[in-house]
Amino acid sequence: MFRMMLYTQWKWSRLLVVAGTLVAFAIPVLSVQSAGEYNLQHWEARALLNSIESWGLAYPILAAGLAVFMAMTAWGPDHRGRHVYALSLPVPRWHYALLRFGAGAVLLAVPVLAVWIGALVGTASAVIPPGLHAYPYALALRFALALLFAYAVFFAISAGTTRTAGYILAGIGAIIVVQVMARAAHVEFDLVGTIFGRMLGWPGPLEIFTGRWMLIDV
Amino acid sequence: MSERRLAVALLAVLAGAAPAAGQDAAALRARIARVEPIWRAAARLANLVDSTRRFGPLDTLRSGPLTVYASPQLAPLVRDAMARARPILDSVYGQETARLAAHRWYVVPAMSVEYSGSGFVIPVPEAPSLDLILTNLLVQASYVYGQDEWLGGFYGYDLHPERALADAYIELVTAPSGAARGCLLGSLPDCALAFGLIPGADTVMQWYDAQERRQLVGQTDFYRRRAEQAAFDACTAGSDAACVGLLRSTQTYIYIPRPLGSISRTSLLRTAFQLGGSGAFHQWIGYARSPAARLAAAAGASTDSLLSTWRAEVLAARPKTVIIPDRTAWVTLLWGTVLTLVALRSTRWR
Repeated sequence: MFRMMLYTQWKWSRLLVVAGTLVAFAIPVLSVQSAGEYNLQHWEARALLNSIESWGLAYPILAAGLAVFMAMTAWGPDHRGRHVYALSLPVPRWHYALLRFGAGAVLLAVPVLAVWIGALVGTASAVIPPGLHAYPYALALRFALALLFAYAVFFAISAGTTRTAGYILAGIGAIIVVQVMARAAHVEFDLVGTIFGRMLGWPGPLEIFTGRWMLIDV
Repeated sequence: MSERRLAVALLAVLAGAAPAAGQDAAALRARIARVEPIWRAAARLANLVDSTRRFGPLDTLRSGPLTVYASPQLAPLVRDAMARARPILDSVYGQETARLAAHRWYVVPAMSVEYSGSGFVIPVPEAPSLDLILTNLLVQASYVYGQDEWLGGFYGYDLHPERALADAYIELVTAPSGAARGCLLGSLPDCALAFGLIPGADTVMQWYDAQERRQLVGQTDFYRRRAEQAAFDACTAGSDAACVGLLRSTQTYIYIPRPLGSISRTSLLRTAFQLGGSGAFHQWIGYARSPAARLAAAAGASTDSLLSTWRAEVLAARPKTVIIPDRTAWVTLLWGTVLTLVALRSTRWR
């Protein structure tokens, strides 16, 4: 049953997977194009690191983008068919959801592999000055974890009912309303910033997306 | 220059030009030296008058040693900026903030302005922010104390000192110099050498080894353009004598790149000021001594102790790389598992 699920999910999402894989391969390779000289003065090293750092934003964006589209693709046909297909299968709901999740995760392993191979190619093609190091494995591992986590988030949201999505949106809206009212009352309380900061810092769920996503670094 | 300034300058020169017995160069120079302060004072006055004319009526705002002339509509904002600037300036320059009293600032709507010679001009857009005025005040205040040759620039307030330490770390680990590498590994004499704190050190030979000298010459456009082709070719082909000769012969035209440049030097100076407390800046600029002696005086500690503290701070400021700490990896997996379990518990009934 898993093979069939994987096959159908591949058919629905192959364009996304192929495009994501190409982009995932290209980012690390392109990010180190400016690494061409062995001995650098400090300002050149700084410029090189800045250039690589500017590409760093592309990895979490790609991970989030791939996760959103894969989660939507995984549940889209079920939503359109009003879940009749799922009801007709002789498996419990949790099993069906796990198969869907597993099929999506397997397909997302392809862009992760592409980041890893791209990072290895980029490392081999770049001239790494003394004092700097390449991190192809760490970069691929971070990308894999970020992608898996983002996929879990959007998969959970997509698997829910419209009512669940409504609750989530209402929660976000309530936070914004409280923030606006606090500001109108001249209360110095940054609720949005505090929540966002907690989510981005340890042990927040979004910490994996922060930091320096750099193939070559100190 | 306006007609008024020309007239004032001419009057000043005429006032000093009394009939002289001889017209030799020394006498002329002495007379010029006598007249020059009068001319400068007159020019300052003329500048002030010109500025007032050019910028329109200005409010005079004072806060401690700071005197700022500002357009009336900008005055409240400038007053706030001055109030915020004062404690910052005090913390950076200590008792030396008194020097700022000899200077004037003009905060005026943006227009084509020139440095007037008697004050600093901060041209601002139609709706300026307090931060813009504050930043300009702080940056221009650093000009009052002049450039420092050892530092390679001006010393002023740094908005992000922690970033400066991280930048110093990058400079330390990427400097193509044996002295900097030795410093990274913990050799304080190498730190002193890389910072240029050892008087009489042969920088050509001690900062860089033979291979680094060759690469330095080969990669620097200046040498490629200026050097005799034969010497350049010999150096890049492996002759260290040729490299040393080239570097020494051009030392008067171009500085040999310093292994630890102004980023690291500024961070070392900041560490010295932290150790030295108030009065440290006064010690730094107060006397004409070697950079090492001035740093030690500012820090109130030996140079070795200062370098050791700086090195520890810089190593602690190493930027985080892409490597995931174990706890982050586990927390991410935990959150992912929780969310997956939530998805598994979703209902098929819509």
